[in-house]
Amino acid sequence: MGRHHQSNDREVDSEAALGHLVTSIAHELQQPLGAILRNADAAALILGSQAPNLSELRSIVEDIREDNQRAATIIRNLKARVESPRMERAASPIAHRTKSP
Amino acid sequence: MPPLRATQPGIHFQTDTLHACPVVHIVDDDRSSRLATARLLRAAGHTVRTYGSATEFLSASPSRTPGCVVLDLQLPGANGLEVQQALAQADDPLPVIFLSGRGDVPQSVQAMKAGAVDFLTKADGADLLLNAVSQALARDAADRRKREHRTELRARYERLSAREREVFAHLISGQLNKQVGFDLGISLQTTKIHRHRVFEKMQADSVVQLARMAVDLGVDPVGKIR
Repeated sequence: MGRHHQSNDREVDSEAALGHLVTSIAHELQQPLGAILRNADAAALILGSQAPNLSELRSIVEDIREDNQRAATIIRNLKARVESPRMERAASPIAHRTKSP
Repeated sequence: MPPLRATQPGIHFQTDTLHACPVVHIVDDDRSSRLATARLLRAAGHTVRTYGSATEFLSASPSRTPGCVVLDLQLPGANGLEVQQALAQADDPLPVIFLSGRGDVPQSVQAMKAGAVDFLTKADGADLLLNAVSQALARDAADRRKREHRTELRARYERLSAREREVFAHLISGQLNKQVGFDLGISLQTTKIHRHRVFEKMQADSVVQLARMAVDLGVDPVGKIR
């Protein structure tokens, strides 16, 4: 019985941790994604102008590429963060049981 | 949405504002995000200034010239709502548009209650932001005109003599010259002269106009209509 409770608590804990992680990742991703969107919108406006400023467009493309890398790094770090505790958990009997078919 | 213009700073943007070209201030600690927002607004024809922190922004005394603020809600050090409060202390507080990473309901309610023009997320499209900016600049221009008008009225009122102010207060209660003269203990002829001066100094054409000025000035009517 005690063991059952413990596993429930652990589930709640990990759910809360997951929720927290998702929120913080979403927030972190919003910066580069927002910047990409604004840059693309700005480029569309500039392209519609009479004499599009090419050097401005060039820096926009560069910045979009950089922000894309930034978003990719955030996701890569997230993967690393999620994968390392799973390996630790593999040592516990519960995790072991759910893992084996 | 403002008309599409090439990105040449300074020449564009036509509003009916009385003074200089309005400035859109962008306060965002994320460099890339700040730059992208600035590009978009500049491409739409606005004059833009950018700041990386609340302190940098507030120490630039931005409220002295017409404009509006696009403010990141989550700034390090000072929260966007605190910046909004600090701005509100100025004589001509700039209208604020909040940009938030996520749609935080309690904070957006607080921001709107404190007079924010809009509360957008960074994922919202260009149209929403550009519309909000146009609306904010229009509000700022109207607010400035209103305040300027009130200052002008106050200056006119200051030029009235003590007796003329009394006549002013009686006239706006709807009293006729005779009743004003009776209440103040002056002759009809003298009342007419004072009345004439009040109209002249206040640059009013009718008692109704005078009464409207009194509301703006906070002058209460005195005397009863008999």
